[in-house]
Formats: sequence, C-alpha cells, structure tokens
Amino acid sequence: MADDNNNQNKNNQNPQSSPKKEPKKVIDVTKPKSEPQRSSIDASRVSAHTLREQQALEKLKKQVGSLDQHDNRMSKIKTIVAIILIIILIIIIIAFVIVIGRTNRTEEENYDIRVSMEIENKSLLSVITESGKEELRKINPGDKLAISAYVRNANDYTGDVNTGSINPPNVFVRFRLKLILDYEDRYDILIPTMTDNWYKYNFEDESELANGVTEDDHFYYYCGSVPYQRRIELFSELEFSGDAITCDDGGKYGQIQVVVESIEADTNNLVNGIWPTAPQRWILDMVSGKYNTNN
Amino acid sequence: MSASKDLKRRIQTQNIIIIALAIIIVVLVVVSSTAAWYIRTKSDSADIILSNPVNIYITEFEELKDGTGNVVTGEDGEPIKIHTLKTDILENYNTRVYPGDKIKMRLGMQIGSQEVEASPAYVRVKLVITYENIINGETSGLEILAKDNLIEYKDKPDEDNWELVNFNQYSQISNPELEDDYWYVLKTTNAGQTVAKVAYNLDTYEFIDGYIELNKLEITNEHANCLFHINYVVEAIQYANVPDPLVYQGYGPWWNFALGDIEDVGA
Repeated sequence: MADDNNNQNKNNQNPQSSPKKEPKKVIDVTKPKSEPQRSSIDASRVSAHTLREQQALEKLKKQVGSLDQHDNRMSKIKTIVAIILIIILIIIIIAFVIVIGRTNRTEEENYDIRVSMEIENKSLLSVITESGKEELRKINPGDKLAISAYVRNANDYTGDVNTGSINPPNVFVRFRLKLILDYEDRYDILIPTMTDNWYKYNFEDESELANGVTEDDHFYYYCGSVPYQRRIELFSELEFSGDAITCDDGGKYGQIQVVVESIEADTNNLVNGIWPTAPQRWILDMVSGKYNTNN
Repeated sequence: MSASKDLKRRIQTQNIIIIALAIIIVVLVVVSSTAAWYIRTKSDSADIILSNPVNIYITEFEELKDGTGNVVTGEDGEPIKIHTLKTDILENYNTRVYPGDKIKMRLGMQIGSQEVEASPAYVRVKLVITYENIINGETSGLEILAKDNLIEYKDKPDEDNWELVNFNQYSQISNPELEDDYWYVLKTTNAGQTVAKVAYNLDTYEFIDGYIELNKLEITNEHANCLFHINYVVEAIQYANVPDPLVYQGYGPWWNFALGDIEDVGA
C-alpha cells in the first residue's frame, strides 16, 4: 500500500517538472477510472474491528443455535411426557369403564346398601305451656331423657314392602351422636344408654395394638351385621352430662344429631380400610369371628 | 427467526396439553377412588335448649332511708334493705388490724340479674382469709390460705337462714388428713325438716350484718406484719339433678360425691 502511494505521488509530480513536454499517457487498466477518496482511518485497525464483530456474530449464531437445540430437546421431552400422560389417561378410562361395567352387573346383587334411621320420642324435648303453646323444654345438666333411636336395614324406616325377589345384603353399621351447640360440635355432652352390642374407641385397647388408631372418631360401631329388614336400637336414653355442661353453655340452643353409616357386611371392607378411623380392636374382633357377622 | 417462533409456540401448546392431561388424570383418580366404596348415610336431628346458667352476685346492703334520714320499714316492721352489687367488698377498708380488732361487714347476695336470668339454685357461702408477707414494704405476692377458725364471727349469720356444714366430713373418713371445709348453706324448714332453700332469679339474701374479728387464739407471730385478704365466697349450684345438700349429706358435687350422686340417694 505504501509503494502505491509513492508511485502515485511520482506520477502527480511529473507534469509539473516538465510542463512543455506533453506527458505520455499511461492508462493503468488494473485500476478503476475514478479512484474513490480514501479515508484517513487506519485500515489495519478497521480490519481488526470487523474481525471482532464477525467473531461476536459467529458466537451469537452459535448461542442461538444452541438455544434452538435446547428448545427442540424440551419439545421432544414434552411430547414424550404428553404421550405417557395420554397412555395413563387411556388406562384409567379403561379401568374406570371396567369397574363401572362390573358395578352395573353386580349392584342388584351386592351393592344395594339400604339403611334408614330415626330419633324417637322427640316430643320429650318440648313442653306445652299454660297458654297451649308448644316450646322447647329447658334441659338441665344431668337431665336424662328417654329419647331413643333405631336403625333399620331397609329404605323405609317401618320396613320395606313389596320386596319381591330382591335380597339386599347384610350391613355393618356405625353411628355418631353429637350436640351442635353454638355452631360447635360437642361429643362430650350427650351420654347414650345402649346395649353391649356397640363398641367405641378405647385408648387402652388401641394402645395395646401395633396399628391401633390414636384418635377417637366418636363413632359407635355395631358388633355384628344387620340383616335386611331388621331394626336395631342405637340408644334408649340420653343423659346431658352435668360434668360437661358449663355455665358458659347455659341458655344456648342446640341440636342433637345422629348420623348413621352402613356398608356391605363384608369383613374384607373393614380390612381394606373402608372406615379408616375405626378402632382396630373392633375390626380385629369382627374379622376373627368374635361377633356374628353373617346372621 | 420464524422457525424459532414456531418452536416456542409448539412448546406452549405442549405445556397446555400436559397440564390439561394432568388435571383430567387427577380428577379421574379422585372420582374413581371415591366411587370405590359404597357407604349409605342417614341422619336425623332434634332441637334442644339448655337451661339458664346459675349466676350469683355478691352484694353489700344498707337500710333504705326516706328523705329525712329515717329508716323505712316494711309491712313486717323490719327495715327494708337495699342490696348493691359489688365486685370488691370492703373496697375502702385499708386499716392496720390487730388481734381482737373488729371489722364491720354487711354482706349479701343476689341470684341472677335483670339482664342474665339464673336457674333455681342451692346457695352456700363462706368467708376465707388469705395473707401474704410484707418484705421491705412490698408484698410477697404469695397468698397463704389461713385456717377457717382464724375468723371469728362476733355476729353470726342468722341461724334461721344459714346452716354451718363441714363439707369434708365424709371425705375425711377415708382421708383423715383433709382439712375441714366449713360453709354456711342457705336453708329453710319444710314440715319440720331442715332442707336447703332453693333460691330463684333476682332473690336477694343477707349473709352477715355485724362484726368479724381475727381470732386472738389463732393468730400468731407468723401472721404479724402480713397483708390480710378477706374473701367473701358465694357458690350456687343448680337445683335440678342435684341432691339436697342438707337432706342428703355426703351425696352430690358439694360433698365430692363422698357417698354417691343423686341416683344413689335413698339406695
């Protein structure tokens, strides 16, 4: 590049040194007719700068390329996950259809669980005033009322009629008795009088067992099974515990609530944990045949 | 760039599909598991109302006087007493007391109030003294219960209305180390028999109108330079389902069921 400049300078100086002699025209065809104006920037530095840009561009391209590769990989993985989920979904749907199909086939025979219950003698909870108006009787701590409740293995509390050839299964029964006082469930106030056919959580019994339950679920469990149409007594009397009712409870309205649950009388149901909070002592006794579960 | 955008859009679509599938699977699992058991449930309920609590308030009383300062009497010729509900008896009484000094008391009680109705109840009352040492002018904060006989009633409660009973007398048979636990029980006479009186809402009763003193024989150096607290304790217990504490002594909560409860009465 430096030699070119020197030559050019020499060529430019020649006409001035011999003005009389017309210079011989030499046309250099290797060069353009009109030479572009050259900048004063150091070309070596420009070249280095461009190189760095090119390198950065290459690096950026590589990065973009790797991102695309990562996204592609993720996309493939997600496609696989989606396929797996679809397979699981199909399996569940198939299983569900099979279960429902079996249920439909066997419901008439084994899954026609029936139960009905009522609290009797509710009239004991009210009094007729001198003006002839019926109002709630005020319950004192320690009061005992002959309020009873029964459960029947039937849809109708008085017994199913026109049963035909239908033969619903025996059932296992449990019930829970509570007093709802000021929107609070109280299990300590109502003390039922009942037969020995009912089992309730007992801390000592459960602590002796390796898999004993640790908490009282407040259910009473019937020791045996109830055949179709048979009626059994839940309790024959209710005592309002004088120890549990405090002055803070006095004057409050409440609601006695009895909830009965029944399942098919199959001890496998108990072993399989259909009632997971049930005392293990009761389950063991039921399974071992201590109680009559066949009737 | 277009290819990259397509890729991102595809990933977003895949995300939506995966989330939707996961939700469907969870729902199906829950539904199928809950449908696994066949449990039939029935319930029934009945409404109740609990009786009012027993409320009792301590009172101090004074004779009703007319505008000229004369005591107003009732039809029976007895002065009419006005009871004032108190939360702190002898509230202005803060005097150094020596053995033998007398303290004037006019204490009573009221069952329930206009605002809070009380159920019928039996009533018992006692005065209890506690004391705490004063060390360097400061009370110790540790109250010690004095024996019942530290208080001497110079003017006893009306014996026609109050019966003094040691409620530990039956428990002491099995546990002789138990201290005496004397209370005055509100009483009346029924067919010649002393029975506990049933107090009803807004009834007021006088307990003591006279003097008590610290028993000179019981007070010792242990009690010197102590701050004494005179505690007026009134207790009411529901009449229903509780045996008469005077007729069936030893039975029921006030007697710590030493002989049994109401179902054991007369057994």
